Amino acid sequence: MRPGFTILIWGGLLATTSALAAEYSPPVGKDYPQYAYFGDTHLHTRNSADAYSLGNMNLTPADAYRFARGEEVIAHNGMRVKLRRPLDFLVVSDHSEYLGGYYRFNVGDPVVRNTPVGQAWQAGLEKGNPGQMMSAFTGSINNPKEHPPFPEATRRYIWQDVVKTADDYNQPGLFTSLSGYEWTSMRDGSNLHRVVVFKDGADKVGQMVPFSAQDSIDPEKLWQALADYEKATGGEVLAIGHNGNLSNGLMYGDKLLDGRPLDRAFAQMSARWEPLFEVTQVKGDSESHPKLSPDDEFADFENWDVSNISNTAPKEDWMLQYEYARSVLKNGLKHEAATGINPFKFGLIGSTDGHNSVSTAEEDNFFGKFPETEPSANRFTTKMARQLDPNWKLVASGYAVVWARENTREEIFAALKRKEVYATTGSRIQVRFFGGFHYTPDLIHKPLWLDDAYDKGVPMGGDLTAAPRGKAVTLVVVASKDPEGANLDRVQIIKGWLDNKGRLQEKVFDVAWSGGRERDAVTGKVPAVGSTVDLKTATFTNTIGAADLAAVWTDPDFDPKERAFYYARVIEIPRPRWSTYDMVYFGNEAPAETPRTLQDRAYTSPIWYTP
Amino acid sequence: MLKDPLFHFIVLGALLFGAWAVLNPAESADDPRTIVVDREALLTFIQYRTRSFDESAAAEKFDAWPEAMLEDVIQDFIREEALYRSAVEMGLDADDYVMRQRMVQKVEFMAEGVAEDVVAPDDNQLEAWYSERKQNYAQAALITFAHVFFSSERRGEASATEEATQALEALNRARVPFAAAPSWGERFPYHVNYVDRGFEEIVSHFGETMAVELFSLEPRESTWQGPFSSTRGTHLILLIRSTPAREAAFAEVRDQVLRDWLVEATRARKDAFVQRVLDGFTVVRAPDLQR
Repeated sequence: MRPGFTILIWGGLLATTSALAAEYSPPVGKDYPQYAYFGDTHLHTRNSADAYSLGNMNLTPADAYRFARGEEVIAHNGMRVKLRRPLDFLVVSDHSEYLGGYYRFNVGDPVVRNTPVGQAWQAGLEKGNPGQMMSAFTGSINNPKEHPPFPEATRRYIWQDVVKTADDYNQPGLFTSLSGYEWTSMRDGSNLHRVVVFKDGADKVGQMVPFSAQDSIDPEKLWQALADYEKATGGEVLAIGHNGNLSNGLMYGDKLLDGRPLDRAFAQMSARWEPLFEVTQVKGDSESHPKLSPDDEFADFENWDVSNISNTAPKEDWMLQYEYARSVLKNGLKHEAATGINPFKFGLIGSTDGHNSVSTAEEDNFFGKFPETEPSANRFTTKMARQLDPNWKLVASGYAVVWARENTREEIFAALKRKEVYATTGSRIQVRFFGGFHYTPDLIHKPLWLDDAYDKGVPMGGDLTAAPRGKAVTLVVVASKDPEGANLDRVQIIKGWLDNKGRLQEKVFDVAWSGGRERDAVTGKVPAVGSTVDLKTATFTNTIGAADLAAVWTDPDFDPKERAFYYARVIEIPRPRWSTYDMVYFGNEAPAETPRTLQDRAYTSPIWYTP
Repeated sequence: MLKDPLFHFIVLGALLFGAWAVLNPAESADDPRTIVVDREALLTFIQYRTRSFDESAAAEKFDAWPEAMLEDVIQDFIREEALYRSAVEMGLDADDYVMRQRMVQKVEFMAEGVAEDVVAPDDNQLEAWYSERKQNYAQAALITFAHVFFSSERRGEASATEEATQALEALNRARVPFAAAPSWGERFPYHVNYVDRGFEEIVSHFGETMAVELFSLEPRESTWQGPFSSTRGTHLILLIRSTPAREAAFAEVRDQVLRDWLVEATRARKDAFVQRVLDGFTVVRAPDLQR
């Protein structure tokens, strides 16, 4: 499959007798990725209108980069904040609607003040009508005629400043900053947001202006804009959906925005431009939902399932299957069977969606979403932006992890695009996941296992097809705990498939677990790992669980004629939730419905089997 | 200041743009001691009170209110306006942190505009600048090694150490080189060959104890050393290079130095602008500052 590997393996063996036969530097010739880089593809700064108007007046994109690479920053609540370990990469993705506009208007920057929009805002203020400006951001999405964008020249000027800052903080090999923005589309208060990520530097990215919801709220129009960018510059760009859970069935539904059924053209564009889904973030975890997966005891994890993003319409059960990653991946198989193309063939990443310029996803170092939820004695009792969900529900999550050869824009972007990436809910779990037909059970004991793993199969995000006669899909999963975090409880493989009667199915398999627990004879499930959490002190110990778990697992129900996908879920032992750390620090009490502990986890991108 | 509940009330309770309107209160008579209540002022007031910025909705609500309710709102408005104006008369607005911050931000923005057009230095200037701050660009200590791993989880620690001791002899007898290490031992969760890696990474893969040992170990090009114990088991090490922390040559770090120079030059110009502003003031330090 890869001639380079074969040569190297032989080289390595020969080297035992002839020292000069192999490359001196072992990575030479191994063209597969060897490093897991942890980052955040979704972070807002004061350049976002909502962040600024809710108090992020001080922290700039430059501050966000400085913080991500390990420097200390003063949060809006006056506290000093610093990451335990720096991130490897960051995408500052401010809302494109009036990007940078509220800040610049406020400080009297003529670039914004002298535009028709700026003059209207000013006139509104002078007439005692602050609504003109205050409602401009949501107005720009819901009613762009009344809230038009800044003139093109203004947007371009501000955007070039943004992408130049991204270039300034990009240090190949050490820290990668990728340019990006968020397209904040909504319909009827339901979320259709996408984060757009560029591979390229300011020379290319600076040639266009970010696509906004004022331009269109239709994802197909966004994709067209991305295609135009690539065509005009020769650059590369992709989009990542998030908060399907707040879309009330809209984000990954069976219908297009105009009501027509999802068709082949849409599927093609969706598959081309949206290789990933941000499955976990501060506004809820969207991997699975207990109503969709009643047999999955880990499905009920930090879900937000009350309403759409604007809290204007309640959640109804029928919506859920179009919002959560597992059911959407299943629906993708159904669409593929119908149209020939899977529109929802996405890999999984996590990110924070923080709005205060600091990317924090760790339970004991969580600085909330807006400045109002930076640590304080009363952050449990407020509501997000004062009117949305209660803030105790915020999730300290998550990270995007990419498997790459080196920490550069090119390598990280390529990994995102080929989906060799995974999500964590804020922990630094390391996980490898491979699928193939020829793996043997001893693979995971060999030091050279990665050569074989890549040679005989595909990594996470990959495709398998045409199973050889008599062979079933075999998956290899190798996980290690966060070196400074909690031990691992178990590793699971989740299978979704379209059965030969056209029904969508799913099943969760425990494939590796700690501490010699026995599967339940009836359910086949491994019992709960227990807990070492002391709520009084917000501490836990790694006296249960395992540092490393690995398995080679062959699908016992494999049918070569059925479309399927598989992904791994790695679950840590219980630890205190962020709110529990708060209770100990501030001596207050979270509302009774707040979970006191949680089991952080990782979700790999799937591997698909197509007959 | 930050603990002040009033501060939190203002930051969290009022939308920030509210401060603006406070600075530019709705049309009123020139006499600061006359409060004019009109429909427009009340509509603005209502919108801030309800934190719902829709003028026509506010107007609709306003027109539908019974007389008594309207009177209540008028009383609230008068109370707020009177207290606000007396606060300004007493100079209390000067102590308002949100207002101060917004004013300061405006001047800083002007300063940044002035500072932005710095001219890049030539390489001689840059190198001179670099030589004064070499310590900022020091290169971290790095080590290059291969390791052969025996998992204590699979067989227990004693047996892992025993097997490692036997393997040590075999490795040295066969003079197993760096690149051949992956053919020996067992799967380690991270890497077998580490080329020029820093301390933090080694700590996260092997634990602090073993990392400290490896960074103080003498390199021996063709001799396997050990056994060493990590958090996961026993390791044999072929340490072929250990580079102590060192100064960087200018050429190695020129781009980074230039970036830093620009950041600092911009900041210096901004500081100079701010200094000119400060120079326009006479500062009197009160005797109670003496220690």
